[in-house]
Amino acid sequence: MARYLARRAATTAFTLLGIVVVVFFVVRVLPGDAAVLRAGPYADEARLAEVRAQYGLDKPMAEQFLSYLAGVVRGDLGTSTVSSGSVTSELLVRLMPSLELGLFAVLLSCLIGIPMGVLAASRQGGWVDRLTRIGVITGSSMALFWLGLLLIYFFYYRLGWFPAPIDRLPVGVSPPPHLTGLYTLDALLRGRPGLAWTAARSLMLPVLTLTVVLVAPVMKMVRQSMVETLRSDYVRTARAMGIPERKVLVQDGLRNAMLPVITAIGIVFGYMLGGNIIVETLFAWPGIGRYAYQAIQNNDLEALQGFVIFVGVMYVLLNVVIDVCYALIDPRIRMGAKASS
Amino acid sequence: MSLAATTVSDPSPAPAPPRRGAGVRTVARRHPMATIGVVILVVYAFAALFGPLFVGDPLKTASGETLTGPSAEHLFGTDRFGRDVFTRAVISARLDLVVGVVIAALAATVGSLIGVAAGYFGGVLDEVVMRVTDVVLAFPGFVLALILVATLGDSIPHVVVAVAVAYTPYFVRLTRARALAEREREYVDAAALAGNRRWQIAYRHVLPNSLAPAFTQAALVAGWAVLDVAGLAFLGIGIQPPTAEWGVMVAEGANDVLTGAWWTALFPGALIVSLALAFQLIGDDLQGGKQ
Amino acid sequence: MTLLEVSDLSLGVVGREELLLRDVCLTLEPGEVMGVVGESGSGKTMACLAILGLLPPSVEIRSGTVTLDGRPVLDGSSGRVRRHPGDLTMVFQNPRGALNPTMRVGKQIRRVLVEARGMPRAEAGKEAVALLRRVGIPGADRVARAYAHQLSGGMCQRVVIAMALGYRPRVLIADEPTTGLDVTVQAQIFELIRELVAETGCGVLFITHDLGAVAEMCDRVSVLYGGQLMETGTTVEIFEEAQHPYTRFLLDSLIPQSGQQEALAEDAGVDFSLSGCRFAHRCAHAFEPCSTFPSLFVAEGKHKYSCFLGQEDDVVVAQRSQPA
Repeated sequence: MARYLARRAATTAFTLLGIVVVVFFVVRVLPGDAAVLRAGPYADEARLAEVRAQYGLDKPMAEQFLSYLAGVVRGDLGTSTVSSGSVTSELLVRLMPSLELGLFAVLLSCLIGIPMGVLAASRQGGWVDRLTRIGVITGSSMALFWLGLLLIYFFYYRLGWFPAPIDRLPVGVSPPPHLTGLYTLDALLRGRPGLAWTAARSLMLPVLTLTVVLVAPVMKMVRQSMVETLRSDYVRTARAMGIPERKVLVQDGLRNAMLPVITAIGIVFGYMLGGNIIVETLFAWPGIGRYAYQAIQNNDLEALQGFVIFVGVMYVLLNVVIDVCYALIDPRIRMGAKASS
Repeated sequence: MSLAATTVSDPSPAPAPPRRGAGVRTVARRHPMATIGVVILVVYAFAALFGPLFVGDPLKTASGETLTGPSAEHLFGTDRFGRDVFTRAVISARLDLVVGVVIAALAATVGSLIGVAAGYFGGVLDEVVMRVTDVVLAFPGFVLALILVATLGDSIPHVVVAVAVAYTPYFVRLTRARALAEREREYVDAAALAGNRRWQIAYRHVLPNSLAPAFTQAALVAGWAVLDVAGLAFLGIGIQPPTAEWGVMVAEGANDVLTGAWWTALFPGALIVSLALAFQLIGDDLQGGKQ
Repeated sequence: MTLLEVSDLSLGVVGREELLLRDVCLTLEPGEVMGVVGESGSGKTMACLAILGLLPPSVEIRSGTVTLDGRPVLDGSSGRVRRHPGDLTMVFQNPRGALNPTMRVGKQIRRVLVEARGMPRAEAGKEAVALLRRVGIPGADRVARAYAHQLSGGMCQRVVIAMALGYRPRVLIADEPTTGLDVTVQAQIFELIRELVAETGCGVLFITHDLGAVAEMCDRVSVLYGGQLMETGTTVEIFEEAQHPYTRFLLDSLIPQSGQQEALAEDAGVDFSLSGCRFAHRCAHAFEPCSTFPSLFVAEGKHKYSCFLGQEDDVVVAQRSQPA
């Protein structure tokens, strides 16, 4: 186990370094004068020189990279060209809204996807199985921005069941006192269930939009994994040895099928981090996704760069956590010892 | 990562070969989902090839007819500049279909070439390829494509390359895994004995046999690529207005939805989804065949 | 009373006409080891899965009955298998694959005792360790807390046999239990099975393609080919007085010195749609009557075989349900 962790740490460090390298060079080396990209097409020579000095673009590339890297390690992701604020702090402020949205979506996808996948696998060809297949195909072909608009049109504009897609709370409602930054949780913890419900209502449409897309890979992965597991020899042996079917499904089926599903949840998080940008833009949600969108609109390359690194690092760290969980659960990896033959 | 050990093999004899004369209709009956997908694709291909001949000018504005709903004259209504939504949608079919296919083909081709090399030659090359794909895969695909286009500049070729780069690692991994298995097969030894040089074995013998999983994946990737390109366009990256592209149209029409003019955004969006669906149906069916 | 009786068992693939198994009959007495011999694809595994009610969803029972101690287990018309704990169980090939990789082996034995024999958990735990000791595993306490991947193939198979012992079956079906294991381990496993039979008086169906193992382990033998029962009799009768051309073909392929079997010649493939004898296409003696399904003819006592050779045309000595 220790050896596994050490190796994992090494590859992770390498990957993280790679992220910074890639982003740095993509932004600075690709065609397009970095100064022009920052200063905009209307800048004259004098302005360009200013920009170069300001961002250290006149220094040699290696030096620029090293100082950027040093900054990243310190947690400094640069300064926004628009607001002149620290990109890191701007991202951190917007992190919790994104997490509230993303976590609910992932949670909901699992709550729906996992049982559906299990039922689909244990009764192949049944109606749950067919429904699952439809869900997988639908979710995989869904355009987030279209689905969101569709839901807004029907459930807000026509039916009025949900508040306007502006921000996390309707106009005029103040957020609960800060505890975690998750409005629903904070409101509950502060004993204000009504506020929690209001916050939840604003969450529902964006969460639903994301969930439709995220549930597809979950269902697919769970079903596939369960089917494979249920065909295994040890399931057959358990059945032959008189273990009742529902216990076989859980102790032999689910327990072993869940291992690759945990890895799949990591992938789902990845989709979520990317899909966040579209959903937050559409619903005017004040998260990091919307920040990225605004950075694009404003040509704020520093901010965009910082966002990409931020997301990349989060994703990598998440995958490490998942791999460690996997290793903890699967005794074959945990013990690492080779079977004596 | 197989959890199941040897399984009881299904004793069902191989399906009887189709009787002579059983052609398209039998295939269609056996694969209903893929057939629907193919039909949709054919419709879009038609629209892509011949559509522009039948519809008018996608850029023509008519200030008197802004935001009119669907009617006999304007099948999909008009947008806020008075442009006919249907015309723009048809013109866009060519763009989105071609873009989706090209991206998938590009990612599959480059990815497979690299993957087979890594799998077959192994060693340092393999290590390097694996580390690089690790880094590329460290970013959610959409985010990577986003920053690539943002820095390369907004143009269609840039979008194509950016999204293709995001999908290439999948193909690298897929074909590499297959090549690793194929490497142990006898025909490789036979080819070596016949005097083939290593790169010849890799590309003339191992490559063709490692491509099978890539085809299925390519169909799925084509669908996702369409969604990504449209998504980027929606965010204002890559393809820009006034180009008629489904994602651009949804972006332009997003605000209209809030005032009730749903047709400007929802029709183009539906077309995006149905094209992606067509690819999904085909890809899903190809996958479902091998269980 | 006959322990296990399988009558006219026929299996088919769902949605297809052909029969995978055709009118197979088997009897097993208490304390008897019956070898079930045949090449891959002969249906021997499918027959046993059918008896247990563990057929894959694509295979269905077309006809036949199975009784255990006189009680019906399999209802041919509905295809349903009614099992009670402690009746039949099966030990498979690939022992490590037969164990749940994420559950400690002791727990796997314990839960069989709890579910099939209703033992309380604490008692079952101790009994599980005792069973491990019984099958000759040293350090049983330690091994009980181990996972399958930490044990050798031979140890895994012993664990599975311990599970089977715990189950206390009336009939044990062992499907090629020693494939892939060392010869010495093989001998030990055989010994264990013999002890089990001696102690509990259960019957054993021993599936194998290895005639050497048959000679060593089995009291009686049934030979299957293409889903059809070719011949059945005592081991001596089969080895020394084989009546069926296929049995003789199998015996001939044994290399006398090493006792090993030659790789069987490329099978052109059994045609499951044939209504006649399925070995006919490979049989040197095939003649006209072979196109109809041969009944089971008696050679002597319980030695039966299914071939028209050596029969008077109009004498059918043992009655058997003819297919419609």
